Amino acid sequence: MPALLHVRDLRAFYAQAEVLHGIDFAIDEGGVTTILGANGAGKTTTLRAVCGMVRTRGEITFGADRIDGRKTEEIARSGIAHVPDGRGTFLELTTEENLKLGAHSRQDRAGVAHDLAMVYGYFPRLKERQKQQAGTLSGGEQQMLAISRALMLRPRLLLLDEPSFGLAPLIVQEIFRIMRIINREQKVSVLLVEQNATLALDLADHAYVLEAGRVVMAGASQDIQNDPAIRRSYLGYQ
Amino acid sequence: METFLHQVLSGLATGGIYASIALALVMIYQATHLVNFAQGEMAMFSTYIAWSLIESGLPYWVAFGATVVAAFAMGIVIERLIVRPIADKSELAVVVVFIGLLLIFNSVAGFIWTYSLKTFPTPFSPTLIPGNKYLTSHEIGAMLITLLELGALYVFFRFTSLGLAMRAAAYNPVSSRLVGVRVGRMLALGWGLAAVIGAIAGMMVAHVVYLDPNMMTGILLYGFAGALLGGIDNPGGAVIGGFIVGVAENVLGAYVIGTDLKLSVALVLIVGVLTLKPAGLFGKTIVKRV
Repeated sequence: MPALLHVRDLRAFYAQAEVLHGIDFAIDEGGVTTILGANGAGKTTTLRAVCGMVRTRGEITFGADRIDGRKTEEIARSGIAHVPDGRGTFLELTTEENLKLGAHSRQDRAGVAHDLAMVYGYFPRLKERQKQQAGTLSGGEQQMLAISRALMLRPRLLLLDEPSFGLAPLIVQEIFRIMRIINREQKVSVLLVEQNATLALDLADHAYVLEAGRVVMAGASQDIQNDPAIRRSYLGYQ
Repeated sequence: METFLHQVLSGLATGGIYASIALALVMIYQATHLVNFAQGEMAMFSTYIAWSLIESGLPYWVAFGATVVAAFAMGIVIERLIVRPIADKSELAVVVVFIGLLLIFNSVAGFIWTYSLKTFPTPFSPTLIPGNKYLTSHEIGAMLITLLELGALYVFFRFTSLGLAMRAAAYNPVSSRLVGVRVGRMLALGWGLAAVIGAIAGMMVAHVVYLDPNMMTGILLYGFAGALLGGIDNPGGAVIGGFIVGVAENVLGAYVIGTDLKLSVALVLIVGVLTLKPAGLFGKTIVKRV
């Protein structure tokens, strides 16, 4: 089966500085892939590069199309939903307006209404906060909102940037539990960037380890999880 | 008491004009975080276009419609050709460009249409809308048009998905792109709409103050005062602010400071709001949790 997303020799730049030095990876349709690595390894930049938010070189293929060099909004419209770091909440708007914006590129009113009910089903807390200004939601609720907003695009690929960041462990567990259900039920492929390696490897079936802008390890999540050398060097286990 | 009521009502009539200009300023402010100093001159220029069309024999409402379309196009062209290329430059650069636009529109209008005052017709004849002892037919008609326009804009921004996308693009362009909103298009649309609001205000006020290239200078100042008073980041507040400024200007002008010093009301308000309550009366403080 051909990969849903295929990245070849991807380089990314902030101003003149190259921060990704030619990375390759592929994401299978329907799977969960995670990118692990320390702070500053280039995880967030990788997601931004896929979405055309930074200057890049190299080849990014999504489905049958080359998407490198395209505008961010066109990449989103082609079916890639990005939950950015910091969650990207529209703070001034209500919860429901945030969700409706997620479906901005869609024309099928009935489908949008259906998906709105669906995300409220996954995250009943959001339903309770429907009319509330999104800036007043708690961090966990905003993360749920960000994931739901992305789902409203009905994406083929979901990019998640550190969904656990700054949240209490119980809420993180809840979010990951629902992510697993979403991946199974919605058949949406996921590319997950995480610092919390245990959680990420638990959810993902495939993993890449980034170090200083290069892929230093790739494989099935289980192999990575069980490799003692990797555990010591990259995942912070003793 | 009767004269007082007259002053208040006629203040509300001019207040509608200030409210429109305030709203146009706020729309651009929300997207750029800068005040478009050329907003008034764009309105003046559009009003001249309307004047020319009416002079050439077109019926008033046809000229009105054509001017709205022309103003919309003008707003979009200005955004695409002038504002967008400098959007990521320093704020000072953008402000200088706005002031440059103000001067260019002013002198081009003077060049084409001369600086002599022109009368501008009103479509609201006393037979269409009877005036009363407080307000002229034109004042009532202009107020109706303004309220209709503000109502339409409210419905548009509050209840349509395009309006929602425009608000989102102004608040948070990065997230907007990630959900597929074509931010550039939304910003251009915002400029187009702001130009239309200004053009309608210009056509309504020109009958009262007469048409000349400097017609909007004072009105822009009042509109700015209204926007600040209501809250420069709050469209609804800015509209209310505009009405308040209109009434305050009229009442103070009639009873306290005299007509010569009226414009200073705007300045005092601007300085007062900026020092005492920078967020304005209705300025929202966005609650943010992390």
